[in-house]
Amino acid sequence: MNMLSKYLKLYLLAGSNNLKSLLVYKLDFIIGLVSMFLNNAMRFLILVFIFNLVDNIKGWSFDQMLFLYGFSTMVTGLWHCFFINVISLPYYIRTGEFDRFLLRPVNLLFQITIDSLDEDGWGELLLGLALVLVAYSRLGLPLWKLPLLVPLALSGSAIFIAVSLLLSSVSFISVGGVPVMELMGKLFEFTKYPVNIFSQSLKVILTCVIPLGFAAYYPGLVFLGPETLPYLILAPVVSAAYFVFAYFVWNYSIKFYVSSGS
Amino acid sequence: MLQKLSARLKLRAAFARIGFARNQVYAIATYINVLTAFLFVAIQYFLWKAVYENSVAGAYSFKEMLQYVVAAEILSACIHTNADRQLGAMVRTGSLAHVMLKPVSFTEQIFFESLGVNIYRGIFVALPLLLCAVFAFGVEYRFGFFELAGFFALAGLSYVFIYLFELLLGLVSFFSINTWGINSMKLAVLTIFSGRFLPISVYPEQVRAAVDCLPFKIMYFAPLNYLIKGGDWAGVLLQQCLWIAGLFLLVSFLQGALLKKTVIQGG
Repeated sequence: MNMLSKYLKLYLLAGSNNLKSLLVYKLDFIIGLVSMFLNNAMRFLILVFIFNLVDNIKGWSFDQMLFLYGFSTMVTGLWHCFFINVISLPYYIRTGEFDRFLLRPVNLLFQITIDSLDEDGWGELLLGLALVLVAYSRLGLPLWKLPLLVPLALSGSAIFIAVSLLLSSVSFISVGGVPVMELMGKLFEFTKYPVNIFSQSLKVILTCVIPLGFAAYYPGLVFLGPETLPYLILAPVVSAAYFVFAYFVWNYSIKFYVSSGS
Repeated sequence: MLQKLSARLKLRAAFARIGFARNQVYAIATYINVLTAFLFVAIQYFLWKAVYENSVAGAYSFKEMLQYVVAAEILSACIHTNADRQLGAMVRTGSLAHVMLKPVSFTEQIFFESLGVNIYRGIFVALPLLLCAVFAFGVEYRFGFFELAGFFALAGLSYVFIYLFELLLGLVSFFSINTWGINSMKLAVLTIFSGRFLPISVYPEQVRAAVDCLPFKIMYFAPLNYLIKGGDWAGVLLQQCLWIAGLFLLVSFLQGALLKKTVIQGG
């Protein structure tokens, strides 16, 4: 308990410091927010154009796709706001800053996470939320399910954290310079579409091997599908398990870390 | 005369080599690029397959649509000079001062250095994409010699247009030190108006009419649509040349005016 309160205190402290450093450049903060919102909205427009050609994709109507797209954007935004620093690991290794983290008596992953917050993610989060709410009302989904959005979005972003942890483990072995960001972008893109459009083998991969399906698709089925309970239980369980797995891999691969010496 | 020319070319080739070499550091990067390429083609393949399970009205068939979206990704891997970002960084850090002291103008330095980068990306990003699409997903890229030659000519002009456009945005960063807003505008323009993700001819009618009036379609849509659908090659070429000439005049005017007023920020 003592431990928990210590970490909570640290998080709040680091969080308020990060927020202060963002607010030094107020205009930058607003521009970052607006531009991220705009960029994502433009990408979304492409989906609107596709639905101008057809009225459903594998049985998914526009409103349902809207919900899924929004939910996925929201989850990406959450990850982007609070956990994107996980992928800065190559940078910390290259500059030698990683050694500093190793010396402190605080959890390593925790230190990296709180080292900087990203302001761009807020635009993504807001757009995602807006799309989800619009889709929610257009589909006339039951109101009692609405609060479920919060825990399911959190569990979805745990999948993203796990994926980014696994990818950043690579940088312990090869010092930085690996284009993981583009790879991650493509991986996350899988969550914007229903898993059932993919081939059988990809479906298995997205469900069992890299369970990106549990980031948005399966949580989405809690709202869109006929069955609520199984997915409602399954999604957080899978996320938690995958996160723990990724965390162990990440922790294990620290053993291969050799300081760059700078 | 000839000697002078070859010396000039050598100097510029050196810039290109710098750009190429800067990327060529980590072998593992290539494997990651192949994996990224595979994922991209997989998403597009299955998405469009699902879309075309319905009867789709419109100019593009499933096969052509796949050709288009993959070719656009290939093109985007090696067609951007990022002159805006480079110039913005020079202005922000003040390194513009010593860049301007070199015997080659900074616009040329940017052009040739990014040419080196793009040759690297052409080999290590675009080629894996092409191979992945053809061998793993059976996307057909079989074109006649003249079609291909025509396409490369148009794509070359697109390259010049994109360079000038990005240079123009970079020059704007002389006014505003913050380049975020500019960069996001560029992305918005690219996403919707250039045909980067979808052929403009399948856009909804009103949007298409509006986008058709703008010059940005010559970045992606014009060369790709010619490659896949054929059509009026000379007309597209003429259009590209006109826009490039206009943009060139604007950029050189702005460049001349701005450089006189430049204040280097400490550095």
